[in-house]
Amino acid sequence: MWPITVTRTEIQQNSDHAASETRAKLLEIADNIESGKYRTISLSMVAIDDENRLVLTDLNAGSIGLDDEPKTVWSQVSAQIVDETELTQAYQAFALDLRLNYESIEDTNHPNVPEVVNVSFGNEEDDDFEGFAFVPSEAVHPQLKSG
Amino acid sequence: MSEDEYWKVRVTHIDHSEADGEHRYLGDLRLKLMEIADKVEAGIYDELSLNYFANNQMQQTITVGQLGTTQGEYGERGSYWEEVKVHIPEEVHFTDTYRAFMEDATIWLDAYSGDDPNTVEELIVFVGDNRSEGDTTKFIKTPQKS
Repeated sequence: MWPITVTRTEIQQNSDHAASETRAKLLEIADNIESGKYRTISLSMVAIDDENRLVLTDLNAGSIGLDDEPKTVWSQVSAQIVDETELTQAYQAFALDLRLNYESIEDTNHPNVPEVVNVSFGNEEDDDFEGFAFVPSEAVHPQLKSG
Repeated sequence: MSEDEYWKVRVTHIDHSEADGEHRYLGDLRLKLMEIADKVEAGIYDELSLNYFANNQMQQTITVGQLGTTQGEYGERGSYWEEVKVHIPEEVHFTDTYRAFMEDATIWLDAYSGDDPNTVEELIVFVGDNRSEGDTTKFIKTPQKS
């Protein structure tokens, strides 16, 4: 892990909710982009359409340049895969590479408060680069939140 | 990387579309995100995994997140998301961290045309900066034209 000194770490989670709540999170992301809270953003998506046997990959990016001119780009690929096993494997392989891995190591003196947060993308087993260890620099303890 | 290292997946149809930044407003990203939400709610996307990473240079914060929808054995559907936001005071670390996440989560495309320059015969799609070889890369090939 590559240790990075941070002054604040926030973790938010929300699980086992209705599929429609995906829209709420996407709206929040769009709000953050348009308000300038996110100066640059990159989104990578993989989806599966069982009925049409499609695997879709999608990349969207937005940025506000030094000239304050906002731009957005996107690129999308959809592939129809007739073989059911290959359809499932293709989706799972992409999903594995795009997985966000993180673990919190709790501060023994402060239960429920992470002392170090390890974050990485993808399948760590095949990757020499294991990710980042975000380590608080001071006695400013990160807060664990749950949605 | 040799072609042998790509995982070849047989496909019957492939669509590739893109838009560059020169003619697109930042607000178009909202439309694209709502299109994704529409397809999730309509059931067109049975399952979805979406990663994002964003930075705010003024505040030196980086946000890394994932959201997705799932479909259970009996068709029941659900959603999840998780997000990590950090403030990195050291400027070099801030930039390096953002770039490293961008490399890992970016989808790369390589299209090869055949005799017809407007027809994509082969399309290589993979995620990340290809630090790890082999099964992290995907090779999608359209059927040979008759």
